[in-house]
Amino acid sequence: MKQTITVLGIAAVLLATGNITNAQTKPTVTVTPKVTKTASPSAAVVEKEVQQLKEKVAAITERKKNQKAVAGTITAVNDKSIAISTEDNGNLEVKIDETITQFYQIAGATKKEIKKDAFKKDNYVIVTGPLQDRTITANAIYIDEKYVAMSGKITEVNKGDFSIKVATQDKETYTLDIQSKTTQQIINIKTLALEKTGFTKLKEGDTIHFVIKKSSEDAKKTRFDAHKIVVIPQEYFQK
Amino acid sequence: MKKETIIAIILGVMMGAIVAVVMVLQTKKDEKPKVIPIAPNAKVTPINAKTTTTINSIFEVVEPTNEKLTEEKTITIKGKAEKESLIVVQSAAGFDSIKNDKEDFSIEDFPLTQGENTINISVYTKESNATPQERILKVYSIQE
Repeated sequence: MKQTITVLGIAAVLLATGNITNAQTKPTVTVTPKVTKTASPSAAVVEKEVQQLKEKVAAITERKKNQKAVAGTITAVNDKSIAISTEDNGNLEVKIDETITQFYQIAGATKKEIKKDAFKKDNYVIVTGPLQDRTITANAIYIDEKYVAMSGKITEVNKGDFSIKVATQDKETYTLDIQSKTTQQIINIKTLALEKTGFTKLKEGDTIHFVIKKSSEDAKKTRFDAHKIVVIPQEYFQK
Repeated sequence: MKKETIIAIILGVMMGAIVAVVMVLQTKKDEKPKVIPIAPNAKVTPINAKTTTTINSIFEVVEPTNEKLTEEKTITIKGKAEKESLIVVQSAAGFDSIKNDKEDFSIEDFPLTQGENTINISVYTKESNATPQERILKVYSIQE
């Protein structure tokens, strides 16, 4: 009897300690389900967002229909606008729309998307968008490089430093450095086909068409590396 | 001053004036009028007429318009120029030259680069001393 009671007593103690241990290691968690709007948006909200997106797309399509392109040099960069100075249209204000305006850098034959922070004063840019008075609302702004195509007569050939002087029709004189990367071509006066040529074939009196890279900082510069040249020999005009 | 001195001065001045007048009249008499032979029906060209050959020379670029925006990689250049002129088109992306056998000319598939294309179009007429005529156009090509 005494043994039975002892065994029962030990079993009871063991059971009690087991429950206490379980209670300590397994904290009870009560879950109260909450219903929030963001977790499962209602159909009305989704429809409103779709409608706003449609309106935005329609606005972009409309702006692209009436868009023009202008090019110029950045004179000031502000939060929501950029000021540019153009050759043909004077000073213009370019308005930036945070949701619509896209920003690109043109590199060769490709364009890559960039951030608005990349635009700095003196960058040469092309802006597309509807133009009204002196303001253009930008659909896109592209950083580009400015190349100029001109023509004139060769007045001097300097064999010492591989340069030539050219007098253009508007009475300007340019000195062109003929580099190894300059594309040099000449017109065959009989067939009018383009042929490769070299510096030694250039002579005073020849007509020359040339392309140079000219940034806004080069406005007063008269000496450039020739990007490409095409020569029309003076013999063509002596027939 | 003595009376005789005054009379001598007056007579001297009068003699000098008479001699001068006689000399001027004599030189005018000796000048012979120049005769320039002119053909009976020839037009007489006024002295201040211009003689360069670019006056009234046709040169017009019909296509493209300046500052045209396109998504294309090439463009067609159309215009008018005097017959048998050498027409030269150049930009950073391409070059072409033709001799037009009629006033209307067309240069097709002229290449465009991404971004701004400054295109120089020059016309050299068959007159060897003519100053070429030039047009510079800008075409913006934004390609996908």
